[in-house]
Order: sequence, then C-alpha cells, then structure tokens
Amino acid sequence: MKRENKSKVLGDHKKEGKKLIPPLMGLGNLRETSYTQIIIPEIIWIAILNKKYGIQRGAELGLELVRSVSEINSSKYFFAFISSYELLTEQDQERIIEELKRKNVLELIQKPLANFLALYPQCPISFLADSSFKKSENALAEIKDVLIDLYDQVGRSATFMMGDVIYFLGALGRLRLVDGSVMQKLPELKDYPNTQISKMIASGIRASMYAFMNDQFYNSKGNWNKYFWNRGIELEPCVI
Amino acid sequence: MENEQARLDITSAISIYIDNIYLELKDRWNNWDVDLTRKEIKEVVCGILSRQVAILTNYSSSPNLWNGDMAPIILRSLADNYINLAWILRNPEERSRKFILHGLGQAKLTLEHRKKQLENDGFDPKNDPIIDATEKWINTHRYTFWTEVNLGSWSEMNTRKMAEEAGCIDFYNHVYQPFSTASHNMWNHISRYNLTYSENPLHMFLLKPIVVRFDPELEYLELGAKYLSKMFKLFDTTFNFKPKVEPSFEHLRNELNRIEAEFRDGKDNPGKDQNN
Repeated sequence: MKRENKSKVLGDHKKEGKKLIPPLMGLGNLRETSYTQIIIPEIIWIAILNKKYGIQRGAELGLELVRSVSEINSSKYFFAFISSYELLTEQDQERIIEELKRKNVLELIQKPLANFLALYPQCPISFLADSSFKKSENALAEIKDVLIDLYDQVGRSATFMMGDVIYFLGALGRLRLVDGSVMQKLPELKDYPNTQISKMIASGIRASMYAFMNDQFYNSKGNWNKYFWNRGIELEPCVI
Repeated sequence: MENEQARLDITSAISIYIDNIYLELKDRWNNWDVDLTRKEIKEVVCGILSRQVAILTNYSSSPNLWNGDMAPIILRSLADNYINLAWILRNPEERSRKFILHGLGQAKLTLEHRKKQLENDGFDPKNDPIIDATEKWINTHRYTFWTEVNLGSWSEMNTRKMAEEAGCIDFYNHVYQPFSTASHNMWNHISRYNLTYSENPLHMFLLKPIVVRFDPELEYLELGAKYLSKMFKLFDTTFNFKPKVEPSFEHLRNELNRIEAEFRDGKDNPGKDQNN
C-alpha cells in the first residue's frame, strides 16, 4: 500500500543560496581527513608489524617503539604517526636505536619493516632499517597486499591498525576515556567483527582516529604522505 | 574513384583516426606527471579529455549522426566539455575539486529522491541495490554526510561567464550557443529540421511534421574532430606538454581531402581509373 511521505528531500540540510548544507558541516571547526591519503601512510608500519606477528605481539612491539621515541624526544607530536619522525635529529635516531637494542626489540621491528623501508628509502623511520636485511623479491607484492587489506576501512587489518594507535595513546597517557565509554573495553576488540561489542569499539576507533589527525598529534606539514603516494606511482606507473 | 571505394577509404581513415585519438589520450595520461596527493587534478582533467575522446570515438563511427539535425546535439556536448576544461585549467586545483563535489552532490540528491520514492511506494530503501551501490560510490570520494548539494551550476556561474573567464567567448558564441538550439529542441531548430510547409495552398503555409533521413556530411565529422583537437592543444599549452604522437586531426583532414579530391576527379573523368 502506498503511503505518502510528505517530508522534503534533504529536509535536514540548511539552504544557503543555491546550496544545501549537510547538518554535520554546520557544526564548524571540522576538518575533513582522508583515511586513504593521510591515515594509511601515517600508520601503515603498525599494520606491517601486525601482519608479521599477529595483533597482540604486533601491538606490543609497536608500543615499545612509540614509547622509546616519546621518551627520547619530547615533541607534542605522537610517534605512532610516521610524519612525526621527520622532526627527529640524528642524535635522537641514534639514541632510539640504542634504546630498542637495550630492550631487545630492534631486530624484531626491523625484520618485518625491511621490505617496506627498502621500497620507501626516504621514509622518516628508515633510520630503523638494517642494511643486512635485504629486500625480498616479492617486496612490492607484500606491500600491495598490505594496502589492499587497509583500503577496507572496516576490515580487520585497518581496524587493528587504528586500534593500536588508540591503545598507544592510552598507554602513554595521551588519551583519557570517560567512565562508561565503550572504548574502555578496547581489549575486546580482539573478537572483531564477530561480537557486537567489538563492532561498537571499532566504530569508536574509526571516529576517534579523525580527532587525532590534527597539529596537536601529527606533523601535518610533513612530506611523508606525499612522498609515499608519489613513490607508489613511481614503483609501478599507472599507464593506459 | 567509385562511390564504394570512397566509402571504404573513409571507413579506413576513420578507423585509423579512432586509434590515433586514443594514442593521443594515452600519451597525455602516461606522460603528464602530477603529484598523487593532488590526484583530483589529473582525474578531472584527463577524465574530461577521456570523455571527449569517447564521444568522438562513437560519433566518428556513426555517420547517421553527421547531419544538421543530429550532429549539433553531439557538437554542443563537445563544446560544453571544452568550456568546462578551459575554465578548470585557469585554477586546476580548486576547480577540479569543485567539479567533483558538484557531481557528488547531484548523485546524493538523486539518491535522496529515489529513497523518498521507494518509501512512498511502500519499499524499504535499505534493501535497494541501486541506493546501496550509489551510496558506496559517493562514499569512496567523500561521505554522504559531508556532501553538500549545489542546486545551481557546478561552477556557480553560467556557461557564457565561464567562457568569458576562460578566454573562449568566441567559441561560446559561434559553437556552443548555436548548437544549443538543437540540443534544447528549440523552435529555431525544430521549425527548420522537423517541420515543413504544407504545399497545399489551402493550408496557409501550415508547418507539418517531417522526419528526414539525412545523408551524412563529412563536415560535421570534421567539426567534432576539430573540437577534440582544440582540447588537446589547450591541454598542451597549459601544461607545456610536448606530445610524442602526431595530431590525429590533421591526419584525418588530409585523408578526407585526398578521398574527396580523388572522388571528384573520378567523377570528372569517369574512364580514368580503367585507363590507368
């Protein structure tokens, strides 16, 4: 049976001249951040560790790196984001290597990142690379596989990669969660996407990620993401 | 040259032309470097070039469109595409984005109309595959909740103003505007192409419908090819691009001139082919 819906199409939008403005854009002070262009290159290293070691060990090693760098460099930028590493001095880099060696994690971090850093030699974390780890023949295929997974923003790889950033922020005291927030149950993310609670946490993570993509946490003036994407098209040109 | 031979030669020239325009597009896509973090510029500019090539590819192989009644519909679209590009190229970064966002807004508006229609018809829009696919397509660019809808022109000005700003007002006046009458099905086109005077003196020059199967005129093919060529030249000048392939238009024009001359020559000297 037909039922007439008399509400106007896009009735919740505000008309400004000939434009219909969505309600969210009326809130002001919001900046659009591209997950693909910005977020993936900033934290792809976490996904690479997770792929090699699984989500628990990957997160532990990732935290060790971010913690070590944060102890050595007091920048406001958060060191889960690769662009932040552009600001490190050579001295900082040497101290970070020493610290990771002392914690017996340097090699564990170097190994899975070797192919990535060989393909992207100007990556700000390339100082972590050990030249004795040679790029494997399937290095490019490996990175492409990681990217294919990450393009699915609600997929497991992307979710755990972003989830780790939230975990690092909490562990290093840069994030405080209000009582009752679903994000306090972060460990339950491990079941994603098979439980309702894990889906709610994942949704919270995705929304929160955007809140951290600002000048308080990452070096938005850095060159890394531009280099990353242009290097990709240099490695395999897009031709017709 | 006989009719049949001329027809075969024209078909061959067009087939080569279609291959060549694709090579011209390919040359520009493959050899024009653009920073991937500003990829909208390359996507929009080459998308518009690609559109022009696609129209020409199909138009060139459709001789039944090369006449004063049908060709203007295509030629006006080619002119519109050209003016869009000319205007975008005056500020590629900002205007490429504007072009994309307007398109997304239009898709969102269509989507919302469809949702409402389905609801009114008693269906659940959430189960509609077209809505799902369109929403996903929009979200690959920008989330629908971020997408504003512009009910006006994408450039926020009319085409005449765009042409003025882009330095191609003559093209607007002599191509876009006259061909618009056909594509908008206006009286000055309909009365000349789709109506004819009744010959009966009792009818007071009443205009009556007529559907004409026009013969193809090569001039209309050449006009389309010229507008594509003009677009490639605009691209090359703007980006100081040095093409690595020969211009297709000149080759096509030379071939058509040669075929026409041989055909005329054959008509003037009917026995010439046999004697040689």
